[in-house]
Amino acid sequence: MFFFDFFQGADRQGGYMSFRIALFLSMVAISLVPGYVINGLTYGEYKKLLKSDERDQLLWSAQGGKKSLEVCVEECKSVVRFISMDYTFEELLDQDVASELFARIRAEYEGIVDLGVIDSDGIQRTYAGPYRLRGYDYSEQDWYHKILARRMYVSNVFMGYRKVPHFVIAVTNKLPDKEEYWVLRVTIDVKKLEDAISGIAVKEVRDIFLVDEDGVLQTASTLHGKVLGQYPNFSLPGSKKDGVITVLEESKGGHEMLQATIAVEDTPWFLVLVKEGYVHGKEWETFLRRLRILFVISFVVVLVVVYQLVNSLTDRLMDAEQKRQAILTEVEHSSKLASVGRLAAGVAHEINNPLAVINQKAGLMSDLLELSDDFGQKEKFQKSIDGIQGGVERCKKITHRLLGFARRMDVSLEQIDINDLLREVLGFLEKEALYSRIDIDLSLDEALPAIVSDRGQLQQIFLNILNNGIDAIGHDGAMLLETRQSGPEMIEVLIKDNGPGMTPDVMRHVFDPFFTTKNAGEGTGLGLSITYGLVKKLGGTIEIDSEVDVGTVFTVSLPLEQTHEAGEENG
Amino acid sequence: MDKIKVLIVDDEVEFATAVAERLEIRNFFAEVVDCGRDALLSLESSVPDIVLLDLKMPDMSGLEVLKKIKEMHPEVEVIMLTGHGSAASGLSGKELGAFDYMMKPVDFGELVETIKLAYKKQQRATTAD
Amino acid sequence: MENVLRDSHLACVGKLLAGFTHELKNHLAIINESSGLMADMLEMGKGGEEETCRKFQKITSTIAERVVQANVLARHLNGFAHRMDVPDSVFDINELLDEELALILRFAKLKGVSISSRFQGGLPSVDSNPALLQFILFALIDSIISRLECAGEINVITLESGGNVQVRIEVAGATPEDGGRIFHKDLAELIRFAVKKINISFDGPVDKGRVRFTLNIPSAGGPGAPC
Repeated sequence: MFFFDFFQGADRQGGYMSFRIALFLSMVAISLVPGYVINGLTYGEYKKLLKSDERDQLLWSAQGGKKSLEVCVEECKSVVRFISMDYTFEELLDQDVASELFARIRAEYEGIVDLGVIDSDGIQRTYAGPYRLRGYDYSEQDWYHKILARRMYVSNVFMGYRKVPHFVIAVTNKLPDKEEYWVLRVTIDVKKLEDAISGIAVKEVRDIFLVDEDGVLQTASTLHGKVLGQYPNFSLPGSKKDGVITVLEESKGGHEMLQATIAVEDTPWFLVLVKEGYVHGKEWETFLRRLRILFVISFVVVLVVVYQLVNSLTDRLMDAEQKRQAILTEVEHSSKLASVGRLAAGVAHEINNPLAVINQKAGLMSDLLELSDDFGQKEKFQKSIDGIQGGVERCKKITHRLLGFARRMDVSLEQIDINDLLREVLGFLEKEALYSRIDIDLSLDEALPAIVSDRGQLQQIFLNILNNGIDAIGHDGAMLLETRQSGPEMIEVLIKDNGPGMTPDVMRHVFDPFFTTKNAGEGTGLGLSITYGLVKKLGGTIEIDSEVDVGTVFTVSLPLEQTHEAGEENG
Repeated sequence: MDKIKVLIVDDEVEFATAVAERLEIRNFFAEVVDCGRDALLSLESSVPDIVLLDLKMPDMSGLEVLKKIKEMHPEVEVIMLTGHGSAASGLSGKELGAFDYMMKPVDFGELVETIKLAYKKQQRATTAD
Repeated sequence: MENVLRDSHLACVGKLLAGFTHELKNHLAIINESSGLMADMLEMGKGGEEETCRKFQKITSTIAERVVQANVLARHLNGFAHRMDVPDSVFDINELLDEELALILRFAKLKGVSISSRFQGGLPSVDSNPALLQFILFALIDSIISRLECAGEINVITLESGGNVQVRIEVAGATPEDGGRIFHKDLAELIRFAVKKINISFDGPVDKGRVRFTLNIPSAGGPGAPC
């Protein structure tokens, strides 16, 4: 398990860092990935929907366009059909009739360029229009042959003789008594078609035009030039009457282009609509923008939330680990002390054995000496024996003290008589005080109640303060230790010395760590700050009052009972 | 008055012999054994008035020896000597019927006084019977 | 702060112990001098009656012996106490073990456990925290002594191994179950914590079916002074 592994390796700070990072990344991934997958799916689906919607719309437009074109062509057709039915071949051979008819139609139907009647030999017998084309032989022309095959014919757009794009609608009529056909031919300007096309209103269509089956433009295209140019992207819609959509990968700006192609019935034309891809749709843009904003916001929110979460989690883990470490350190410390205590006690006992022997042997010598007659060195012997016994006595005192000291190593809270404790501490310092010729007087309140506290730490507190006092005095001075009950729940220990005292400035900093008035190398400067920490830890207070050349008074106040919080507090 | 008979039980023979010799100088009758088993054996042949008993010995603990002595001869007063000087074991010795316990190294004068006191107590007890 | 406090507490304990032992030694020296003086006088035949003289001579030699005995103990305790004063230092592991075993011997004797040692001579000095190492060794041996159900034997071995100094504590005849009992959960946690703190590799309680604790202590480099 990866969290577990991390947790295992997490006692180093570095471990926490990599744990933090891994947790952060995995949580970000867990919270973002599903959202983004759903987002992506929605995006895709929406895109698909929009796409098909757009295709449908384009197709509808194409179909609509086709319809209106068909209507336009049908109109022209019906005009031609009407003329051919209304007039006979013979009537139309009369140029005046034809011209008059042409003028009438022209007035009615815009875009009609000319009108001609062609006999069965392909010779234009009558012509009404702006050019002089009477007698022109069409028998060689392609469309003429095609028209003969059908009754009604709509031609491709072509330039013809007039160098103007136009198309022809022609109708074939049988001569009443012969197996021969005459043809009524009407030329219509492409403008007519173009007008019809421009009437097709299609939203956001880039290009709309007609092509023939060879891809030749039948009307002008905005993108691909003039009439009769080649449209490169044309493909036959096949048998599909409703038209087809093709997607063009137009290189222009990389956009996708949609193209609808639909056959215009009964004409050689195909209507082509070209529209830029859906990505340019406004709706799509808004959607995309919203999506992006959502993406960024959710990303930021997830980042922030996960960061906070990971932080609080790892902090908690670190906290727990630190607590565990602290407990272990504490256990290690106390068992270390306990082991020291046991060893010291063991040694004290062990030393007592030889001391007992020495003592008894010396005693025995003394006895024997007493029994024996006087001899020259008897006194000297007695003196030596006394020396031995005195030594044993002092050793005994030390081992006793050592035992007491050792016994206290593994106990933390106990009932303590502060007066006894102070006497004990003074026992440690007797020598030093003696050497420095410092008198230490006691003024102890014998009715002082016992307090519940940590003996070892109290010893250290008073040792530190007394040592400090002895150091401050240097030599030849006096100290006074005083105890008293200062309140229902408090006792006070006053340690007075007649040393040099301190200036207010020194006094202010005396409990700061590493502050020392000793010369460099003499002390760490930690003594009093540790003392301060210890007293606080035991739930007490320490105050200092000092006057230069008069002396210093330390006042240590200690509670009778340790409250839980005081015990927990760290110095 | 008969000499007070003292049996000293201590694995530290040097200590025991020195004490014995000093007691004899002071007109006691002293005997030395160096382990619990020998102490019990010696008790079978002659009953002392007082036993000085070391708490810590290799073969059996002083408290065990004390129990056995008190079973065999309840009238014998036992003074516990201990280098293993926790007050607790001394106290448990007292609970088991020891007259007193003393910490090594003992002051010889005190020891003699204690022996005398123990003897007095024993005499009172026997005369009362 | 807490750590400084702890360390200074330990250092304080160490100093106090060192003070105790120092004083003890002073007094023992006085005893020794007095007894020695008598021995000298007896030697010169200034002892009065012959029988008393002989007795005195015996007594003074006993006293001298006992003083030596007490002195050795005081010296060991002193060394032990001094080690608690110094946080990290270069020291001779054999010396530390010698001292510690001398101090522990008493507990072992009470439980009928014997301790034998086989130290490799000329071991390089180690660079570590003597107070903590002292504590780890004590905790282990103490646990062996107090949790071994029958009388047993502890072998303490030191040797050089791959640039490190290795201390092995073997319990002869103990079963792996004994090992588990000796190295109970609380002790294991404490020891593991302690060894990690001073960068000592630790192995135990069972090694190839035997109860054995192995400590690998980084050596300081150059060969240490023989003790």
